[in-house]
Amino acid sequence: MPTLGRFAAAIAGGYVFTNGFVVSTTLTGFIFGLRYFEAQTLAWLLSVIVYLAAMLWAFAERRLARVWLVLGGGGLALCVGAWLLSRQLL
Amino acid sequence: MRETFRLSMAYLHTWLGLILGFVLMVVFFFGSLSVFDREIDRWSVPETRAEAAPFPSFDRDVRPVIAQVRPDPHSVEHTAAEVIGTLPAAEDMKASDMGVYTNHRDPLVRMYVAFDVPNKPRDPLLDHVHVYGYASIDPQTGERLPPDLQDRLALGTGFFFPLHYMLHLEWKNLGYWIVGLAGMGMLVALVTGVVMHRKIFREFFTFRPGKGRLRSTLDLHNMTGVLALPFLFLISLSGLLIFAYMYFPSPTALMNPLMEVQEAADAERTGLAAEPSGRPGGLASVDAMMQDARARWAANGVPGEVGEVYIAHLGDADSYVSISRDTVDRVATGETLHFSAATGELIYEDPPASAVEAVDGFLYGLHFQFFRHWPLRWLLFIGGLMGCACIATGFLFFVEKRKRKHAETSIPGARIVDALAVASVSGMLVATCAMLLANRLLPIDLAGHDVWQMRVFWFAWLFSLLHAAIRSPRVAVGGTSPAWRDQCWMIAGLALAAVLANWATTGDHLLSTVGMGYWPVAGVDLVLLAGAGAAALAAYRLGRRAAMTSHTLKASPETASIGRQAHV
Amino acid sequence: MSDGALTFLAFLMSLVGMGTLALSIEAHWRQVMGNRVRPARSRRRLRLAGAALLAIAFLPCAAADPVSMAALVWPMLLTVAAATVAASLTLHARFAVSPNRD
Repeated sequence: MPTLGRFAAAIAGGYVFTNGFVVSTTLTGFIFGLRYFEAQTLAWLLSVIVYLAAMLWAFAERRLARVWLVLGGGGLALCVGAWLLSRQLL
Repeated sequence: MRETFRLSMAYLHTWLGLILGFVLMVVFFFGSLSVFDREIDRWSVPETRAEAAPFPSFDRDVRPVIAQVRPDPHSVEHTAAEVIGTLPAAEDMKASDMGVYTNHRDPLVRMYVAFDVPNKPRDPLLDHVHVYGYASIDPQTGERLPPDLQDRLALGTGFFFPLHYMLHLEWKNLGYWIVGLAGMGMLVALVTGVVMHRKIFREFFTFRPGKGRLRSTLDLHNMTGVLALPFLFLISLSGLLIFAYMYFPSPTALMNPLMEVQEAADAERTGLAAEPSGRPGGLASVDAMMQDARARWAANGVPGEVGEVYIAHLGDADSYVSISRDTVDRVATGETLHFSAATGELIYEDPPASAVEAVDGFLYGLHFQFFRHWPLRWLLFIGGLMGCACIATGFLFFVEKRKRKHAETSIPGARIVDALAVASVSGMLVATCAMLLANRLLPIDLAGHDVWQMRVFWFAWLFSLLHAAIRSPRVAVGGTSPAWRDQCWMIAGLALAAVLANWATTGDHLLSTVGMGYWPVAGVDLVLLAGAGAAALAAYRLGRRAAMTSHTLKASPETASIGRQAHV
Repeated sequence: MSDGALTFLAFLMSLVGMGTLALSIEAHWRQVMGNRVRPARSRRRLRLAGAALLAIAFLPCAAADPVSMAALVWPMLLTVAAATVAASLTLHARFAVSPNRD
C-alpha cells in the first residue's frame, strides 16, 4: 500500500505540477517578451524533463505528505496563478 | 522513501520497469519497424512497388481529385462520437482544407481533405472539428489509385506505426496516454538505472555469457542500456514531446482567451488568415507557386523537392497555399513558403528558426526521420532494437533473480512474469511474422482483407500468451520455460514462410530484388531472413541448454551477490 | 571521398576509439592481452587516445553531412561501435585461447 501511495503521488502529483509549470512558463516567457507560441513551445519542450524530475523526487523524498504538498499544491497554485494573471493581460 | 537514495531509485526502477515494460517493448519494437514504414508498405502492398517519384503536377493531377474525395466512413464515425447532435449527411459537408504530401522514399502522393461540420464539439477545448477524406495518386501516371488499392492495409504506415504511438486503442485516446506514461517510465528507468548501476564505466563493454544466466542477463541489460543511453533518452524524450500538447494541455485549457488573441495577432502579422472570410475566392496555378518555391530553394543552395502542399480555407477569398520542402538534407522539418491562393503571390516565408524552435525542430525531426540518410536510418533501427534488448533482458533478470526463491516459497510471481515476458518478447515477434505471412496469403478479394490481417495479428499474440502460460510450470520449480524455445522456432518458421510467400505471390525473390536494386522489398526480406536465422539459433541453443540441465537439474547455485544493486 | 566512405571512415575511427577505451579497462586488457604486463601510465594514455579518436570521428561525419545531421550520425555511430566492440570482446573471450579464460 505505501507503494501505491508513492506511485500515485509521483504520477498524479507530478502531473499536476508539470501542468502548472507549463502554463506558468508559457505566461512568464510571454510577459518577458517571447512570442506567445514560442513561449508555449519552450514550456512544452521542458515539460517532460520537469515531470521526470518531479517523479524522481517523489520517490527520493521521505515524507509523502510533503510530496503531495509541493507537487499537488504547488502545481495547483501555479495553474490558478497563471489563469488569473492571463485574464489580467487581455 | 527507502533507506538510501540509491535503494529508493532501485525500487522505482524494478517496479516501474515491471509494470510498464510490457508497453515499452511494444513501443520500442514497432517504433524500430516504423523507421522503415514506407518500405514495409511496399512489401505489404505489392501493387505499389515502384521507385519513389518527385511531386507531380498539382494543377493537372491533384486538383481534379480534390472535388472527388468524399468523407471517409471511419472518420465520420470517429467525429460523430466527438460532437453534440447528429452530423449532416456526408454529401452535404463542405471541404475546408486539404494537404497532399510525399517524400523521397514514397512512390505515392497521399492526400487528405478536411470537411467542416456545423456541430459543436463535446470537448470545448477542441476548437476545430473536422471529418476527413483520403486519396492517393500515382505520381508516375498522375492517376488516382483505385478505391480497393487505396483502402488496402499498408502494414508499415497503416498498422505498425499507429501501434507504436497509440496501441490502436482509440477510445478516449487511451492508447496515447498509455504510451505517454510508458515513455515517462522509460526516462525514469534510464535515470534510476544509471543511479543504481555501480560500475558503469568499469563494465562499459562487459558481457559474460559464460558466468551463469543471472550474471549474463544483467550484463546484457546494463550493456545495452548504458551504450545506447543517449539514444534511448533522446528518442523517448522526443517521442513524448510530439504529444506534449495533448499530455499537458494546461496552456490551452487555462489561457484560451489569451491564446486566441495571440493567434489573431499572429495571423495579422503573417498575413495568413486563421479563419475563412466567408467571401468566395479562386485558386491560381499551384504549379507556378511550386516553381517559385523551387527557384527560391535553388537560390539558397538547398535540395529543392516539394514535400507537402497544404491549402487552407479552400474556395475562400482568404485561402492560402503553404508549400513545404522535402527536407532530405537535415534533421528538422518544415521549411515552408506561403502563397495567396487567389493571386499566387508569396505572402509569408517562415523565418529562420529561433533557438527554441531549432531545438524543438531537431527533436521532432529526430523522431520522424524524414531525412535521406540510409546509414543513419539503419543506425537508428539498431538503436531501437538495442532498446528492445534492454527491456527484454530487464524482464529476464526480474524472473531469473526471483524464480528460485519463488519456487521455494510457492509464490507464482516469477512464473506469471515469465509467461507475460514470453508473450511480450517472442510472442510479439510471432504475431508480427504471422501478420506478414497472412498479408501475403489471404486472397485480395476476401471481404475485410485488412480486418483479417489484424485478426491474425491479435489472435497470434493471444495464442502466444496462452502457449506461454501453459508451458510455464517449469519456471515455478526454478527452471526455464520451454515456451521461449518453442516460440523462437515459430518465429523462424513464420519469418522464412513470409519471405517464401512473398516470392510465391509476387515473383519478387531476393535474387531479383537485389539484382534490380529494389531495396524496399529486398531489405524487408533480408531482415526477415536474418530474424529467422537469429531465432533459429536462439531456439537451438535454448534446446541444447535444456537438454544439458535436465541431466544436472540442480546446477550450481549462482552467486547470491549478483544483482544486489537491484536488491529490493 | 564519397559521403558513404566518409561515414564508414567515421565508423572505423569510432570502432578503434572504443576498442582503445576498452583496453584502458583492466578486465578487458587482461581478456585481450592475457597476462602481458601493462606498462604503467598506459591506462591513462589509452583512455586519452580512445577519447580523442572518438572526438575526431566527428570530423568525417561533419564532412559527409550538414552539421545538424552529423550531430545525429556521430552519436549513433559511437553507440553501434561500442556495441560492436562489446560483442567482439565477448566472442574473443569465448573462442580465443586466453590464459585467463574461465
